[in-house]
Amino acid sequence: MKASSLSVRDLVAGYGPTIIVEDIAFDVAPGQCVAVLGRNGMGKTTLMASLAGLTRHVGGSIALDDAPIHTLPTSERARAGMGYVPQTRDIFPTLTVAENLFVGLKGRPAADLAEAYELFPRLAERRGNLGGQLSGGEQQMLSTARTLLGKPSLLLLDEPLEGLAPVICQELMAALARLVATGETTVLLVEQRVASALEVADHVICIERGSLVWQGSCTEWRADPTLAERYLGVSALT
Amino acid sequence: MKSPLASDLTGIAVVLVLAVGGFILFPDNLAFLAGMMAVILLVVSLDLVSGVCGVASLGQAALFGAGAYGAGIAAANGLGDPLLLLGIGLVAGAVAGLATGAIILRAHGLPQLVLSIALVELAHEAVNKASFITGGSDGLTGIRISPLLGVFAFDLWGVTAYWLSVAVVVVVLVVLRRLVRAPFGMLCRGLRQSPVRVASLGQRAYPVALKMYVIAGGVAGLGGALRAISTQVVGLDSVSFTLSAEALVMLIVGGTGTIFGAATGAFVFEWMEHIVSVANPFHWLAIVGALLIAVVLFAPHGLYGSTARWLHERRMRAPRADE
Amino acid sequence: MSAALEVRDLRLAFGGLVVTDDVTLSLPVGARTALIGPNGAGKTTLVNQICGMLTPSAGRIMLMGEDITNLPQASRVHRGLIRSFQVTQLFPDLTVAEHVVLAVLAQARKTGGVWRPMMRRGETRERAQVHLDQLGLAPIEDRRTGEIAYGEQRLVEIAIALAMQPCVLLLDEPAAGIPREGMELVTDALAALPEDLAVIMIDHDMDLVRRFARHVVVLASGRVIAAGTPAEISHDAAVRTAYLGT
Repeated sequence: MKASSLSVRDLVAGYGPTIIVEDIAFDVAPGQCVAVLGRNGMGKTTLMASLAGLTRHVGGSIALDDAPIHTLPTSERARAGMGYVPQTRDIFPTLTVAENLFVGLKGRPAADLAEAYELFPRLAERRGNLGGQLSGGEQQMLSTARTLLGKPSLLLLDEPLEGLAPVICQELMAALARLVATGETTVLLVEQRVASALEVADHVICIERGSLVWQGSCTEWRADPTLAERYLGVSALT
Repeated sequence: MKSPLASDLTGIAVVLVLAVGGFILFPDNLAFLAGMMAVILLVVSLDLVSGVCGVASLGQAALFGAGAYGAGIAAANGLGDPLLLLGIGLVAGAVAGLATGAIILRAHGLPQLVLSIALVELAHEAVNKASFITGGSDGLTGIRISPLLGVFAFDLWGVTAYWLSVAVVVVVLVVLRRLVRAPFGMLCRGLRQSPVRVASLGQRAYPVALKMYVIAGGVAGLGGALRAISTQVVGLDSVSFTLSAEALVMLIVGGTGTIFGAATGAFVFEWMEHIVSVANPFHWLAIVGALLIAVVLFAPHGLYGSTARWLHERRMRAPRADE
Repeated sequence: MSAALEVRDLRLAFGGLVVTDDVTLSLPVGARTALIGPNGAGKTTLVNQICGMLTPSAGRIMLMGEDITNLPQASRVHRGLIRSFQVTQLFPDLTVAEHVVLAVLAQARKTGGVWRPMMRRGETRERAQVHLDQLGLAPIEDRRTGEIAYGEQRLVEIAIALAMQPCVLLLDEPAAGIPREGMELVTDALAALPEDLAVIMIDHDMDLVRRFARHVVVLASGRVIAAGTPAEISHDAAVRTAYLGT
């Protein structure tokens, strides 16, 4: 599949009565990798969930390859090529690792499960175990691997490194960089480890109180250290 | 933010206004209204175990029946003081709660639900077989109630029974609304949402849930005693699966976990049944079924629960508009 | 003086799979120990056995010199053995403040009260407020935890653990999901812990581990493969290949 473009216009969304995402607009070109940065509780996760269709859509539009998708339910957005890895690791606890991954194949041949095992050898060791028996970090690997198997044209990753051992983090980020380099997937990445995120991203958007407050290239972001201080509240980001 | 106390006072005021209104507008229906009060206590008691603690039960009438037969048998054997009978109903319900809770709370989910049905069916059969003391399927008769406080006799029109019922319901609602905000009530609400966290607070789930079950038994028992006092007859329907299931329907109609929701559900359901069964005695159950479907579809948190949420959302939205 | 927490030859197997393989640990009073290791090494499983959520097949667990191996979880909590959870375990319908107040009451074993509303118990409320302020939770204390951001839920998780006044504290990935600026609150709260409290922390954030821990234990496949100061561990070749990477 070819990477998709994403176009978000005046997006307003939230949960119940609460509006969390307010008037967000940005464009992502096919094959770009965008790091979504911002402080805690500023709406990054809600933005991702809104793109995936899991919040209450209040206004604005979301277009995948110029086709509006904001009226579609989550399942239809997934069919249109969107792959979403939520922060909460929603794996199937009563299915085995292999069965969980099988669901992610979306009709591709079973032999392609090897891709997941290559990315996370630990999953191969535990392929017969139930999802619920995995440790927290292993569940994170499973959730990410399952989505990647579906070859999404737009990949939404919410905190993929959380709970992973440092060596696994390095491998996952390297794999992500390779994926971005193939140009087959557009990526939106929320990650607390800003330094790791910036290694693969080429573009940055900053969210504050549910609004988009800055966007630009990674080069521009790095060139101005006051940006990190202003939007992330840290001076020495390594 | 509106204080919990204010919403409690509003709720109690509504109950009192309805009580006075019912007394003035429907003087010929006081016996029905007193019966409704007894059912309110049953549904509120179910809310304590299901809505607050998350225990699945389709056998709550076992506790109601314990109170009804406890008070009824005492009254048929010469103990006629209504306040004493209420006390007997409360204790009988609490003891039944301890006995059945000790079994039901060992299981979780669907097995728990099946256990609760088994227990109410067993209780039903036991009462039926012990006809020498309970009257069996003919019902328990011969109940004589002395005047309340030696002054207010239980007359044919049910005036005394009505006001006694109103008083008991108001006291129970006040006490339980406090209970669910007290530390113990909070812990029970927590038990429904995350048993793992409750355990890590150093609390064993079983005794916490059992304590709530005993309290709920007392409340249901009070309801049973009220029914025995106001109707002066106790039948097998007081300890039936049908009544248990109806109580659950009423709880869903009103909304779970708020006490007031349970009272609302019982009130609306009993009124519907009363009015619709007179207007259309053959199809009233179908109409009640339609009401239930409408509530679940359009007010998924129950009539009271959905209204309370809607008001809460409006208050949440209001300050945003001012910003 | 006996150790605050001692784990001797602890072993747990599910079927044929050994998840805790003769683990021995000793935490002196005032310990600051980090437990690290690859995903699936059995770190959380070990913590679950120490706090009583899982029963080991063999071995002993001693708290302040007392054998607690066969005590139920609640009794361990009452003796001051407190844990936090890797995946937050909160009550979504209760507010942030209600969680911490409930923890203060649980610590004082006063959760049986059925009459006075929980949030109107002044002294308890004040004690809870200290922890709410300490973790920067005061501005959102009236929000339900089901409605707040994940990183904020993680802070509530820590506030509850602190409110329980532990003598041994087990922190399971306290920093997971907490962004950099929230980390300062966490590290400050950790730095402010009483000196005589023994803490064992699981985390993958090596910066945090280096700042916090005086002693590091590395677990792999249920077995302790290395132990030492943070500096020693970062130079251990086996640890580098199995866990740290380059």
